[in-house]
Amino acid sequence: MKLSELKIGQSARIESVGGEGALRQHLLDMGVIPGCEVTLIKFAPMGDPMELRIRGYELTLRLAEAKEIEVTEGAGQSSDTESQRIEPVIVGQQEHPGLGEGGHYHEESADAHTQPLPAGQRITFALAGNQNCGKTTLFNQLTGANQHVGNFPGVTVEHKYGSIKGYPEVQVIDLPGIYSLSPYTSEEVVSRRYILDEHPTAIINIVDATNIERNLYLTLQLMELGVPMVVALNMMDELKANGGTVRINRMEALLGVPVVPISAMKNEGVDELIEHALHIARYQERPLRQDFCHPDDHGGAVHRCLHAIMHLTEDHCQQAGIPSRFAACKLVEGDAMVEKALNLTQNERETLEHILCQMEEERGLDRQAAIADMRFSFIERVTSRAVVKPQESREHRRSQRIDRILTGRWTALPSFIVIMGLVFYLTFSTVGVWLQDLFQAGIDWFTEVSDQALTRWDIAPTVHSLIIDGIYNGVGTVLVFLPLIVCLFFFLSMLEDTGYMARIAFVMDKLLRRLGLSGRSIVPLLVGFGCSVPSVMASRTLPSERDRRMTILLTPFMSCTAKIPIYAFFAAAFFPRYAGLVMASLYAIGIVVGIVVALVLKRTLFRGEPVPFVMELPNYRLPLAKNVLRLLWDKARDFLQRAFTVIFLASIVVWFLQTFDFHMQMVSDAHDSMLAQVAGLIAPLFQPLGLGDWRIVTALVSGFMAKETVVSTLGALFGEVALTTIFTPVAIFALLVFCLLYTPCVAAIATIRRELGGRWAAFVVVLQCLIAWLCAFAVTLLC
Amino acid sequence: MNLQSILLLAIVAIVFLFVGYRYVKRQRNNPGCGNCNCDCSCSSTCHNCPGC
Repeated sequence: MKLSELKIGQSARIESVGGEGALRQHLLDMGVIPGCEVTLIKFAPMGDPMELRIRGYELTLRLAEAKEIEVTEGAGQSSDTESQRIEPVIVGQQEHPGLGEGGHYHEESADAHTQPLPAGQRITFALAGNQNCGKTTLFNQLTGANQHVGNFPGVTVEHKYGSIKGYPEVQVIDLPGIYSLSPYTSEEVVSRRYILDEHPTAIINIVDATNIERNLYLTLQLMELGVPMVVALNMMDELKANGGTVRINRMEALLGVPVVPISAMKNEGVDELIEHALHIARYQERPLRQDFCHPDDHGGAVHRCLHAIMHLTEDHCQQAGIPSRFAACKLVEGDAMVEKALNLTQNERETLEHILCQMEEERGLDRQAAIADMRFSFIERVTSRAVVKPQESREHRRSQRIDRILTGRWTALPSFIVIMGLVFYLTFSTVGVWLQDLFQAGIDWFTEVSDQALTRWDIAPTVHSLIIDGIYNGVGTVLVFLPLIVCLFFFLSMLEDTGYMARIAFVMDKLLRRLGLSGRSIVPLLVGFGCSVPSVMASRTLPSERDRRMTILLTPFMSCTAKIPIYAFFAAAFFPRYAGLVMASLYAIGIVVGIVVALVLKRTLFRGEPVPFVMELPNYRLPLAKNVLRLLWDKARDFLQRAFTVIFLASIVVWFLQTFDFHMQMVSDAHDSMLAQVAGLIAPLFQPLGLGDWRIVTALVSGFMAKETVVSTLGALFGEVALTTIFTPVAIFALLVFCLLYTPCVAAIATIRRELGGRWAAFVVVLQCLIAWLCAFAVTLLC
Repeated sequence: MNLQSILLLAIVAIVFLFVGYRYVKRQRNNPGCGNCNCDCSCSSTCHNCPGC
């Protein structure tokens, strides 16, 4: 039967994994291999995708992919017992291998001990591990940095550097999470390229102790590279609390690399990890084991195949600088990058194909599945001897209970609507607004005191105007929105850190697929409500270029927090009784226009199906107060820096341009200013929208630098003039729609340019302006 | 214009030039959001930049 035909709660044994290419390889790397037990937990509310339990963790898969997997119902065994019976060769002393410890050395030759790396030489550690295993938490502990930590697979989307506290010459690079060295997503390509091309001095491989089998899969591939390495077993506290443990010495002896138990969150074992890591880096102690196949495993077909390929390609590997064991495995898996780098001759390629065919015939599995099976067999041999598996963890039980509601068939969508509604209600109607009023009172008081002081000191009117009308009015009008922005970021980070964001992706996948997107796209899009820059960056977690491009193009339709000041400013002036409704309608318009654009893009530029939805669902976790406060501080600091840099500069420039004419004479009427004359040239374009005023045009142009400057510019240009006497509510609503949809700010465009290139960035600017104008025009026609 | 006005104007001008110089320099070094105060030339946005 097919995996898609399983009933909820039913278990089965995988017989074969169909499909082809990178997705199939990814499934194999995630542990979906023949012989493995799988249990169906539930379907998403719309009937697709499905949530499976495999190798002790939860995986989501679409029905279309599940149809490619053949299973046998009700198999009780989770692993291949024949393979488990094989006694693995011990590569270190079992009592206390002491790998990575002072005075102990991997190699017994005197040269290895007496010739460490020269003192003061720069040491670089690559921090590698699966997604969501705590790499960034460890990175923060090691370096004292303040990187954002999430509870969603793929929070880290590019590498980050930092020096270990107390060791300025030792650098750590936090790489994005990867499941294997077979590149599937662009972040996995980033990590793999770094490890293979940049040659770090050593690797710190962080392994989630609560999900050790799947995590060790990457460990084995890293060991094949022959780079000095230490394994950090993270979340040991959680494992022990649930009755499990790891026999560290035995695991160290079986793997042949130092293994250090740690809890990165509680900062336990981190000092010991640093000592071990420095030792193996200074003495360049490579893993004692790089060979995971066994001559007795299923007749030794894979073992003979791999060793034959290693002999066949040894000279090419030396020339290309690729470890031969790693190259052999990758050649079996059909890795095109390695194949190209080795530059094999026609004869060698043919010989390679013969070896592989022979192995497939003897082993009874295709080549990719055989290699994945070989690695997982070795892992099972190690874990059956060194790991006491925990009972079902408290965290998992809690997650299951919560998921009954948050991803339940009838409750998931209402829960999503209620939670998102609550986020926006608390931000824009209660907590955020209360804090904003408090802030406004403070700024008003400060402005008044400054104004009186300037008058008392008899400051010249021009300078007085520059300080109060230019700087205070410009920066102050934007600054009052700080509480709203921090509030929204707080709630968005809570959604991400608790693990709910991953559930939203699971629940919304089917809906998003109709728009040509994958469920994973929901995360960048939701982050887009905060800021477009991290949102565009977050799209890197998407495994296909098509989905990534489409998601980035749709990000600007999610109204970012920088636009809140514009909405709040006009809503308070023109629609005081319906301010909340106006704000909500703007968000809704953004989403609806985004959906329409997605449907158009799906049928034009991005034809074809979105990529499969294969994702791990993490347990729910309570975010650490320290992390949340750190994030809020970062966001507040970002905003304050923006207010005191770009908005400060723009306020002064706008004040100057509106106060002087082209002859550098101070004008009594702003209509004669430089600004009025230049903006007047573009103003006719906005005439059909009822916004032909040069001051509006100037504000919109300044918004390209940062959206908040729209309000500060308007504040400076209109001063005390009541806007309600100049514009109609309809014109202002058209203006709000235009602001919602027109070009993202220069920072977002720069990020899009970096991710997709200059042409796409220019396309976004033109497309957004065009759509914004058309929608604003539609508002004037309809209202 | 009296002395205190000239002094105040000079302060604003110096701050404006200093902030402007730093902003342009950062934008050139770091094509990300350009808001942070770091001068490193890493390819990260300020959200990921270790110098921020």
